[in-house]
Amino acid sequence: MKELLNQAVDDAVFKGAEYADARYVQLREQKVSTRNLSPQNISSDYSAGVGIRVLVDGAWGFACSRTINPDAMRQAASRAVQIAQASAKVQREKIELTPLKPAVAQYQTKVNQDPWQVPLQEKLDLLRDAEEAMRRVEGVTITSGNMFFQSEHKFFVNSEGSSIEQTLTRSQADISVTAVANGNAQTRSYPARHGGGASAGYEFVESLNLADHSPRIAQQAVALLSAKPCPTGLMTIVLGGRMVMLQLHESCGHPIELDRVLGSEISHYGSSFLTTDKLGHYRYGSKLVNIVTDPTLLHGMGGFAYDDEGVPAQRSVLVKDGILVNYLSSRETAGIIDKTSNGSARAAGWQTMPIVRMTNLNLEPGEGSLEDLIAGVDHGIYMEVPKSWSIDDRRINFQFGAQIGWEIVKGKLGDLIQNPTYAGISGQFWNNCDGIAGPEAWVLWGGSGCGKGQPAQTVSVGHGTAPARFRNIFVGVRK
Amino acid sequence: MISKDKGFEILDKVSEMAGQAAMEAVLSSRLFSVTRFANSAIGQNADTDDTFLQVRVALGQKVGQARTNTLDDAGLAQVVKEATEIAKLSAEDAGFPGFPAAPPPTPLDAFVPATANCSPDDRSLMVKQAVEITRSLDVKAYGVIETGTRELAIANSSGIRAYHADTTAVMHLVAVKDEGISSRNFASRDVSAIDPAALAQMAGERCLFSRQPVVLPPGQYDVILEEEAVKDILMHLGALAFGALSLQEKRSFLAGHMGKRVMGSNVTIWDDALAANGFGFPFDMEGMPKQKVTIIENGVAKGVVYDTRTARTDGIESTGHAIPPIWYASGPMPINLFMAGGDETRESLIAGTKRGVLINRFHYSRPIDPSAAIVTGITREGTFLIKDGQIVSGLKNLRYIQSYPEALRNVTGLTKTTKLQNEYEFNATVPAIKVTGFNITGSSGD
Repeated sequence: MKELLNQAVDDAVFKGAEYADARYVQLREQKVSTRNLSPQNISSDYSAGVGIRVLVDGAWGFACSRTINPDAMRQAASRAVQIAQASAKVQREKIELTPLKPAVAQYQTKVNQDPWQVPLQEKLDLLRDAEEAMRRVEGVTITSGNMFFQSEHKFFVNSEGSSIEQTLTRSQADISVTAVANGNAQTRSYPARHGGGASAGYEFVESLNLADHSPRIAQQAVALLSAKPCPTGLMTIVLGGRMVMLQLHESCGHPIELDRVLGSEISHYGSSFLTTDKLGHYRYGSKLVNIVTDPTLLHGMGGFAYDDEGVPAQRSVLVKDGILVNYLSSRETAGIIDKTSNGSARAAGWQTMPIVRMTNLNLEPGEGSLEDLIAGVDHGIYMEVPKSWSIDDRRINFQFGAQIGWEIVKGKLGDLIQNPTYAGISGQFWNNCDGIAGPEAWVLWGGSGCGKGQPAQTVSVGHGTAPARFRNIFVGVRK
Repeated sequence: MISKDKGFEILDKVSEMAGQAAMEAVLSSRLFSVTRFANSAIGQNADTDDTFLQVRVALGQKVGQARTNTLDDAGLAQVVKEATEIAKLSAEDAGFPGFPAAPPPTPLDAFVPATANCSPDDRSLMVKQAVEITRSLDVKAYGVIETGTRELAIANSSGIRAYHADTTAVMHLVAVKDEGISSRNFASRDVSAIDPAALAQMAGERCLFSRQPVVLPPGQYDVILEEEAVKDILMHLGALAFGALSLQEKRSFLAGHMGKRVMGSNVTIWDDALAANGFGFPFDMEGMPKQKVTIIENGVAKGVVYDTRTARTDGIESTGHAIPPIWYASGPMPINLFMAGGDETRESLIAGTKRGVLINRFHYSRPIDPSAAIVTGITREGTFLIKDGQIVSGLKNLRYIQSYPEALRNVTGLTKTTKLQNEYEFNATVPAIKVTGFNITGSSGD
């Protein structure tokens, strides 16, 4: 494979590319789903091919092939050069890549139990046990369970001498229960809907102990049908770790992607309020807010040894004591702000160009416990597990909903709240953060459904968070 | 492209490899080119290939499925083997209705060679034409041109054998100047129908008008929703309520209301994949011929769409609306919706508005109460204040929380012309509409 890829790169350079890279990706996935105790959508998926990216006259061209032989590689290299030449005809400034020391390396995820070796029946049994435990609760209408396994074997070479082989294995599972009555439907999930994952083997799925959580979430789904509606008004909210994960992903993760800041996504996913003139002095959050990108946490869903441009994984501080100090960047974008890439260029597969993506984007822990945060609230709401999310195209105005909430009265949890929602402005919201729980409450969550780019690219990301408290937040639906 | 003959050759090999087992094979190939531009220059420019063969094998009620993009004999043998092994190991799926039989679908002439042959230089020229206009207006151009071919071939052991090839072309252009922003799009089977300069002119002029957007306080407003915003309403209603599964599970706002008035008498919605002006396939992902289904007629709930599984539950025939089974269990969905127009023009809708808002597009809309189809989202790329029948200024983006069925109960005007809108696999051909009492809850300028 290495020889084929090197040949493709050499061909591209011979035809006029000043830079070229070639990526072979073999993606193997398995989905196992059950719904109302019935197996559904049990599937395996295999995809393999090579993507070739070239710079000609400072403009990008990209072509790919699912046929992998010398002729197909030559054709793809020629096509990539042809596309780049067309790009150069509508170019303002030449693209320059930040310097990078060539790397020759191999890496693979540490896996204790290979998910491909676990019998399907064992996976189905685990989901069915969890479903049966949910269905024993009276009032339950719909139950479901999902598992997802992914093995990504990739080989990267470029015209600067890098040669990197990686095999990344990811495992994910979740269960959900819905209760329906009188036109009201309430759903609870564990850990979150399509939301519990890690770079690990089947041992991660077993560690979730899904069936142990079944009775609790089933009882909650039924109880939510008759729970109080969400109140409306300014109040203090405490968010559980999974809600903080959502908040971090949407209001910090996406707006801090430098390609987005520079306009690459304006016509599709949008731009960003974190413009480059704010770098180094913009107060994004209170002094408690410290945000880092860290793909070196290899068990996170966004963990790897090298990104898809061959940049080594690295921990990089993005928000320090509340101040914006860096962005997620690639070799193309980092130079524009006089920095070097922090290894955030990722491609969803062989048929797409790498773009700036989140890896493991984490909110650093503070101190104390969830109970301590709640104890500091006279009147408010505690919310947990994402249900709905919406944020504008510059990532300023958001409205998020949780699956479940509880009133907080004089420092204690009170009545259950159905359909809890809150809304705000990103910068104001994070500046109203006055408490983040400590390392004991900090969890590196993972999910596989982060979308961006055209054509659409979906990648896995990790988010380390602990519960956090925010003052003066608008809760409920404004009339 | 793979071609009809080669496609059936592959499917026949798969069928032979599956032996006596009940099976279904779906070969889907989408070859497309994407040219993205930003700051009036081309950034990403790529050819991409989304080709897969999906095989489902049923051993009684045990079903296994597997996908691959490797179409040589070894790849085919492997995918059949995996699907069979998964079926053997699966528990019985009592709801599996078997692979359907159906007559050949109605052929749909939807392949435009100019689109299939659109070259990188052709797309560069289109970007250049747009940028020349936006430069003359002193605004910056952002956007995408996507052109390509789609092929879908399906065969199953019940005798279904169907093939379709078509082309699609989409251009989306966003003009930006200071805080001003506006967009226009156009979708067609034929790339030559796209006029980049016209899109740039319209987006550019509107952008300049919105350079100093003001904040609108929350409240209920008359709004004029342009076609892309109307598409968003239909897309959500399609996913939440217009498929049979949500109705059967009583988690749809239509539950208990079939045959009753649920929207305004001026609202008629149907799904029609065979319409010449849409982006539909003539058959669904089970190979069932697509039927035209009237969903809302003059405000009355008339029907929902079915796949074979939900059709069997209700004892009727599938309407040809199966989605890929590899998706999470969402049930059948209409993805080629149409909404009937009225007798207005965009200008007359604006002229007839005393105080209201013109909305170009919704962004990141999500249901906060799926069973009631209450959705929150935010406007983008052009939101304008209307006073006394005139557009008077741009507005900061507006957040809304709105029951979409209620919005369609409060439609007071629809344009005569309709326009095709596309988002991923969903297509809607819709008019611009005027809605009273739309619930604005905030603004990005708060």
